[in-house]
Amino acid sequence: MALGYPPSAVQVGLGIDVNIVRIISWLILGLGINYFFNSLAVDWNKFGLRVAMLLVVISPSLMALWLIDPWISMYLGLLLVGLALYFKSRNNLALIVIAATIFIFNFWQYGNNSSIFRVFNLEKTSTEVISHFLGEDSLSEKIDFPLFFRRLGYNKYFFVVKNLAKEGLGFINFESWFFQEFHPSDTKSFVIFFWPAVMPFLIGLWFLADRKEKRKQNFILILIGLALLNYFFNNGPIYLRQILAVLPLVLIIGEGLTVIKKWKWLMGLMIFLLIYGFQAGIYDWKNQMEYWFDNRPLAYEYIYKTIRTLDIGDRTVEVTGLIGDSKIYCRYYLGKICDSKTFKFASFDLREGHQTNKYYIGFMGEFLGSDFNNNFPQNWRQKINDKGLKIVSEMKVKNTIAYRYGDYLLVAIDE
Amino acid sequence: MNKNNILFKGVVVLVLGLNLIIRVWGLEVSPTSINWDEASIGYNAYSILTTGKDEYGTYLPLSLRSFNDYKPALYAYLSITFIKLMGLSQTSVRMVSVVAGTLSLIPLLLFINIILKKKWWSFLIWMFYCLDPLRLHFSRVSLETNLSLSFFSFGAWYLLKDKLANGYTTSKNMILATILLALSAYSYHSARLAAPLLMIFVLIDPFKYLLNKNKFEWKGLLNLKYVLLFLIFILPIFNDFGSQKILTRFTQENIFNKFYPFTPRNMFRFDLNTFLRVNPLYYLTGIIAGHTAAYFSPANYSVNFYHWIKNSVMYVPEFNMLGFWNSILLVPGIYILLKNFRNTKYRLVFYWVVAALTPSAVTWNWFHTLRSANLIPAIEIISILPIIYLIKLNYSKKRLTVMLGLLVLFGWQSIFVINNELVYANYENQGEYQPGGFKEGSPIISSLIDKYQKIIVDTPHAQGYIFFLFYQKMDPKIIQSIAKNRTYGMDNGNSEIKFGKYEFRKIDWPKDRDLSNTILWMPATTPQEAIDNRPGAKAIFLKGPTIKYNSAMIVTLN
Repeated sequence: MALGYPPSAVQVGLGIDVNIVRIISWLILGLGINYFFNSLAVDWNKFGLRVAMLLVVISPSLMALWLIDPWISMYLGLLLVGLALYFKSRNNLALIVIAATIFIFNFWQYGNNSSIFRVFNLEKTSTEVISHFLGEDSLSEKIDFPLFFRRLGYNKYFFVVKNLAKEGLGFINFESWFFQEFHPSDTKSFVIFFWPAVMPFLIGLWFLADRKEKRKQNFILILIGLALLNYFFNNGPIYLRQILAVLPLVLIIGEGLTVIKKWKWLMGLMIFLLIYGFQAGIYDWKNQMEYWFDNRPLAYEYIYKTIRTLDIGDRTVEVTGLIGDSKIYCRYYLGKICDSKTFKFASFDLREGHQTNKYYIGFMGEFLGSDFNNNFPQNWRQKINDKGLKIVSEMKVKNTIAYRYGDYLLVAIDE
Repeated sequence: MNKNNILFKGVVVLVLGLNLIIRVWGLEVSPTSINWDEASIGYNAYSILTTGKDEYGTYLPLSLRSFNDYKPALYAYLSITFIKLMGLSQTSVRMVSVVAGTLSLIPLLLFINIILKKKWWSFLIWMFYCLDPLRLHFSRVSLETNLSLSFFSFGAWYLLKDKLANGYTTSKNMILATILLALSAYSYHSARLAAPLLMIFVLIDPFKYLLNKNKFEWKGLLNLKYVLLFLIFILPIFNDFGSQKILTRFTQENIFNKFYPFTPRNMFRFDLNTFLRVNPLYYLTGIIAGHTAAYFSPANYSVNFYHWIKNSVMYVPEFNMLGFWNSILLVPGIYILLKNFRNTKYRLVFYWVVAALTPSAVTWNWFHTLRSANLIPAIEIISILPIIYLIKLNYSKKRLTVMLGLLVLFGWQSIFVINNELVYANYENQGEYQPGGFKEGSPIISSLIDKYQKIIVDTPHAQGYIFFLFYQKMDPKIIQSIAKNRTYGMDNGNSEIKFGKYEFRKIDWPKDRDLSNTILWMPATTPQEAIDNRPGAKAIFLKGPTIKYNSAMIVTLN
């Protein structure tokens, strides 16, 4: 069902049919997963590994990845192969190569916008220190500590250490691992595992801590270290930052399920809950696709599918550029015609007037003027008609993607 | 007693004294002003002191009706001594919390020492944990939960000390524990559930049977007599106003009420498909599991600031519950706890965590530091476990370096915590739980009130009347005389209220400007020009809590 979701900007940029891109992403990721888990069979319980592999395949975070981001799928697939090779060889050089890959890939994706660079940005830290001083000094009544005492805590070095600690703490987060869909977070994100997996995780953690299996413990520690590295250098949504945490978590869950296997009723309940969680998750995605996924691809799909139905003739078409690179989507849906003078891709402002015989495709704020709070009058259709523009088609985007410009995407023309 | 012991006790008393000073220092200005609950507790204590009745005229109540939230009254009773000695003030109403917060450090030291068994090392660790951000914050505000935490910690100590030392319980300590835990329940709602749960867990030790496959000892159930005793002790609380009213807070906040129908609302239908595909029970279990897991997430102890925390008395800027390093140590701490789970000592700490988090896990908030305050010592102990592990390792340069590093980091953090709590927190919390204007305007009103017939108060803060009762030290008989007219209900009580010369309602300036011989207290939004245009009107702007902010204005109409 999710295969029907329109392509992301990265997928469109590849210039290949999105279904082919998704199949390739899935194959690379799938092969990586298969190779990784098969390679661990020397030390780890086979049953646990099989279940772990299955859980990785149905992990919402990973499913979302191969659906929307081929590069990260490929990155993850390659890392899995690298980790399997390291596990087989125990060669530290392999580990260094893996760590370097994590750093290079994230740097390529996010440049120096990663959280770790922000933490070590002394200029930004100084501003934070100053704002503390200014805040305190603005109080009409306060306790006055000597400046040297204040400076001991309020200095950029302490703030760097403090911010580093805080940043790292965000990694160990049960919410993003198992409960993201319940968590009252300000930003939506995909959960790594459905919540029933938390029970075998805790049992697995206890089992690993209880037994003195150093090799397993060390391997998990290495995986956590690498996941932390990815977390620090990544600047994406939380599920992307924590994506490598999938591996240590799932290995622990696999251990937990191996322990649970002894009690058939408990194992039966666990299997039922995990399958139920998976199907409930799929049902949720299917019913609230606009909620879970980025809505920009939906907007582009609407724009270019609508353009296909228009009688353009010798008219020109101006398409909004508010939500990203519209031209690549145009090429994906309409082909080379997008390079002709018929199309213009930029945000427009029709408050002062507009041209006739031209299709305008954009958000309501581009027709009426933007609003700081994203509030528009109830009679916005009338107001656009009063300008002499006829609304040919309209779509309400469920999640605001162009704040200040309203939630309606419009196709209008003055004939 | 040998010299070493005397010296040890001496330095412990010294550190306790220093902590008392840090907690009591500058209470009149930091936190800048009192909040609603502090004003209510303080004024009700004052009312009981002078008339024997609370603001509603109830004689020696066990719960204060207050804003129809039925606050446990023990804090108010204990405040009476300080109010008698120091008068009704910001400091006097906070003193119980200061003392309780300082005393609650003693059981923490005892717990560290009984696990580590090296008193000087225990002392060193304890010294830094005394300045845990939330402990310090809670100790500087009058909070019933902080008093409850203190009783709970002592109660838990007597409940666990024999088990930790010898593996069994003694009736003398069990009775002491029961009394202290009951006092904790008299201090705050959460302990009414957390305390009996902890007693049951400790006395039965359910995991012992699961781990060791032992036969269940039915005889052990006899120990539950102490739980029964606890319930008998706390029975009067529910008898006082009737259980329904005492449970008002729980009725308002519980998970079942807030999350119904549990399945996300945009997917929920009353049909078979919903019940098969997205069953509410699956989601309810997930929500409860998530609420429970939240208390094992180090991120929640220091990074995740939820909106209900940020706009409330719980908020400690930069921190949530623990310090940065304490939160980081929580990760290996949880691992060590699990690793040693077969050891009774560690299991008891786990039971404490589970018992103390349960009251907050069944309410709608994902993570709530106030309701889970009884958890603090247990979580601190878990975060100390890695340090204990380090201390027990054989001497090596590596160990010494790590220990010195920790020492520097904790010391550095403590300095930051003191400044952050005593000064910066006031800036961050102003206007939220420290509403400005009332404290500044009160002396002005006192100097004017005799010359005017009426004072009309329009404040954006609900229940603003309580600040006038508190700061004006108004005769309780005045407010008690209107008790019959005040509404009962599930809301926070009526905000439109009249007593004495006071009337609390919205001010309509174009209409109310024609009143005479009246004082208007209103938001500082009416332009000065409008006031100047009304002959005989004079405006006084109330500055604070920040220099540039006008929190309210007093307009005298002659």
